[in-house]
Amino acid sequence: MSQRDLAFVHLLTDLTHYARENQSGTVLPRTLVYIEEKAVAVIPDIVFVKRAKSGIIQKNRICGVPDLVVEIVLNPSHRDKLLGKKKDTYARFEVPEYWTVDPFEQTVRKYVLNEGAYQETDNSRLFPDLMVQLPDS
Amino acid sequence: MEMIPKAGPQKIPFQVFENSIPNEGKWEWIDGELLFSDEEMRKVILMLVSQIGLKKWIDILPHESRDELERLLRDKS
Repeated sequence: MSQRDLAFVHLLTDLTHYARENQSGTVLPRTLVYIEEKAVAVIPDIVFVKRAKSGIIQKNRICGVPDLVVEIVLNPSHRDKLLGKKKDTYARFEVPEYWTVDPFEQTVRKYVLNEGAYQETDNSRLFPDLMVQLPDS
Repeated sequence: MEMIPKAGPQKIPFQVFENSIPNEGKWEWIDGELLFSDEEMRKVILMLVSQIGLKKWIDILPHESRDELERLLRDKS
């Protein structure tokens, strides 16, 4: 299993346990997110939808804006894409939180939307006391 | 290793397949554009056209596109 896949499984497990324990919402892996009015169809690595918004989760897609999007870096050029076009796009959709996970640099960067732009933070609003530790390579 | 499309269909070696899958196989769409880099787009198109062959690719094209293609090729030569 690649470093990236290990990070994906690890994070998906942690987020799912946290959301279940706190009954805060649903964590989904690699699900199509379609937002018609914004002309966007993307498949983030992980998404989280708050319980109050669970109506946007449909049979094989999410039709609306999730509360958290997590993307995992595949290689350096992919890192540029995640921190460039994708980050701008998620800000434009008004996704409240965006995390980028870099299994090569062993980092999890968390961004919170503030007046239309992402600001990096150490404190997630959605998973406030979750300590994310990536698996060693 | 890269595919060179020929008139007829060709088999795709695994190495080419593995290196030509764009964006981890995820087809994403933003503002009417596929979220592939130019390089990813080039590789996947070369692989797909090599697989079916140029002849079939031309057959697939609508008449209007074929006329356009002919014109472009004429202009280029």
